[in-house]
Amino acid sequence: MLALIVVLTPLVSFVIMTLLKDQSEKILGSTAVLLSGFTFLVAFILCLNLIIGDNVYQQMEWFSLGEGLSFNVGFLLDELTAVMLLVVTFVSFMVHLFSGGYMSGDKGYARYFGLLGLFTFSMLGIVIADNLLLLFIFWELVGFSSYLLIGFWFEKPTAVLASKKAFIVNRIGDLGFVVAIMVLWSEYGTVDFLSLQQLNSPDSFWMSIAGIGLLCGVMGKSAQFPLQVWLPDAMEGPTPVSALIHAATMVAAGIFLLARIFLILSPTVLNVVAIVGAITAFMGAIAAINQYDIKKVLAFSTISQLGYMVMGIGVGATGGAVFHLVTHAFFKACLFLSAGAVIHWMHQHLDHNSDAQDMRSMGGLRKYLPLVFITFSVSAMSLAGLPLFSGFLSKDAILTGVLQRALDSGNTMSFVVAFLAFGSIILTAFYMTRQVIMIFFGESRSNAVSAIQSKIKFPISMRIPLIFLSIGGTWLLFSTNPLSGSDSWLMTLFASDFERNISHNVHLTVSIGALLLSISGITFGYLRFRNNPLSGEGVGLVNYINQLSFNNWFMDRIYQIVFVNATLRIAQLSRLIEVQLVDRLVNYIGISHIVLSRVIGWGDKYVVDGMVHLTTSGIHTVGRIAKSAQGDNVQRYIMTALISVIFIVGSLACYAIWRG
Amino acid sequence: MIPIEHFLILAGLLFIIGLVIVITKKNAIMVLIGIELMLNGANLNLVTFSASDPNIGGQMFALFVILIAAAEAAVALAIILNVYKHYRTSNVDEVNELKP
Repeated sequence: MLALIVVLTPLVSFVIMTLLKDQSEKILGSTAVLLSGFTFLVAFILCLNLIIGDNVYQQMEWFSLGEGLSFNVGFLLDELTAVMLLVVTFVSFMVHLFSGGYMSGDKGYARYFGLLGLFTFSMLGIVIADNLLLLFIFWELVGFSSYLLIGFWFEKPTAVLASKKAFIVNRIGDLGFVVAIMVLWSEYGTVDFLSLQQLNSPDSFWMSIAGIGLLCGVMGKSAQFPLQVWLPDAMEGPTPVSALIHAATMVAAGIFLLARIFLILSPTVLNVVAIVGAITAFMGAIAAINQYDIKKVLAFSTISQLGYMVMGIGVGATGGAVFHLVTHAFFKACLFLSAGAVIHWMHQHLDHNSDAQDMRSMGGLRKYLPLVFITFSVSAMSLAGLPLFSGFLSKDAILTGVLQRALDSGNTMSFVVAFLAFGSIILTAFYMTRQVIMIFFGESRSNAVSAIQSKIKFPISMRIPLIFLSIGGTWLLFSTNPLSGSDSWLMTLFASDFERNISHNVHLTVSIGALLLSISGITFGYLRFRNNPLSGEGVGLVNYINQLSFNNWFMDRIYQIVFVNATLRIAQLSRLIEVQLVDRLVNYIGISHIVLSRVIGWGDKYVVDGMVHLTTSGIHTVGRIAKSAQGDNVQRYIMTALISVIFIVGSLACYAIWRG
Repeated sequence: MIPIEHFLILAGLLFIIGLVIVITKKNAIMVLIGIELMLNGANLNLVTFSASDPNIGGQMFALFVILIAAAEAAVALAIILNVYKHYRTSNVDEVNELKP
């Protein structure tokens, strides 16, 4: 029952926003924030119930296809649901609070909060669903809300393109998801999570196919390779949207799905999962090192971290993956919201021609945005994996799993995965250091700062979320021991058997190794960028890597050439065929109709009429011949009579002679 | 005596000549002349055969024929006169209102 309240309150918020859209910003904003806070409170109570008490599993029949084929839907509320509910509602609440200040003055204010409500409703629906079909419905809803929110400023053509790209790429992944649902339903007759787990046949062929299909869905939703191209473009949406959707919740839905179906994934599928995750982590990290837009760095960082989580599931470290999901939600949302604060400040101080998100015109903002500097740096250090921060704990958990798997199985692929995972640590630390230095240190590169020398105070509604989320970036919420992840309550809840049996040596190696790699990454970044934050040029290999990074491994270009252009060529070819063949055929049919009608007309005129004419002229001729016996000359009559008499008499005479 | 064939041939000749004149002549008066000739031919034929007839029937018939011929010639001339008055010509080809 509480679950229903939790899920439906954001939907109520959506409806209210639509109805009240012409009210003032204060009313709209406060209503939305209050509803969001209420949702969080109810979720909190629900989670306490779940963790202390039993899981909830309720079903009701939705439809039945005749005898024995009834389909049930309902809630499945276990510990995983509880944690996800907490994360989603809390981040949503913080984003609502922040957006109240950030989006003020925007003419789509009501629409914005309505869409945030719709999105939260869909995400919560994913989290409580008990079977794959219901989850898929909410999965699609989340994708749709994301489309609406990315294209929120729909007058901007780049935003519209980005939102379409996000939805379409997501859809491509969903094709795999649907295939998996169909396979599972036809082979096993069920798509219910608990029933699937009880089947206990993860190695069968069809189960592997279903696993690959579900992995495709995850690739689309959580921006894994090769479907990661939509996430950088999705930064066209407002920054709090990026914080909510593309850092903390929607993209984590894929990880949630993997955790739910973990027990039915076969070892082959898990290997594929791990490799996909490792490749994504590495590609994302490389792409982040040479971007100059704040949000793009964070977007690629998200891709990379999601790759870590997927890799964690793939090697069997489910606890680590879920742990990292939670910590990532906190520190990435905090990073995005801090970036939002920076962008807000830059907007108000730059002229309208400049890009407020371009880091090349930032610098030295530490003096003007002290709070933002602190929250950003705390989250950045968490992301880089420094001890005393939550990111260290969760990354540790994943990496121990990766290393243990590599040592256990000994095949080269696991070592490649481990290599990519550990290598990405240096890159992560490197690009975060670069970003922090570019924004907050050094001399200001823009002409904005000279105009306003005073510190601008943000409204309290924007500062509280930053503070709360950055607390989540420290070790405090997660473990009593700031240096080791395995004592965390999240690990206690979610660690798989594999993780509990990881040897102490591996733990130690990973902790020290990861720490050394992070520190070396930070050092590289500091040394390279401390004096010249803009140094992006280089020669030879460095330049090549810079180009590769900036263009996201040229994936957009490759997709454009291979898929888009090919499809356009096929369309042109089809059009050619259509015009040449089909239209010609139609024209010929038309022409043949006309020809046929002409022929028939000719027939009608000459044959039918001809017969009539023939008849009449025949009669005419007969008449003429008959008439010709009558003349205008009396002497002819006499002549005719004479000849007839001669004829008759002659014939009589001949007859008489012949008779004797 | 003169053989009877001579009389018959003469009568026949007269008749045929008269017929030819009737058929071929344009002038209506000439047609009348032709008719008279035909009548005369017939008369001669009648009289020739009545020479061997004790009732001289042929000769009686010939008298009537002469009578009729005279009357008919008068009437025919009257008709031709009237026709001339109407058509202004006595050409038998031209007195024709029956279109071919």
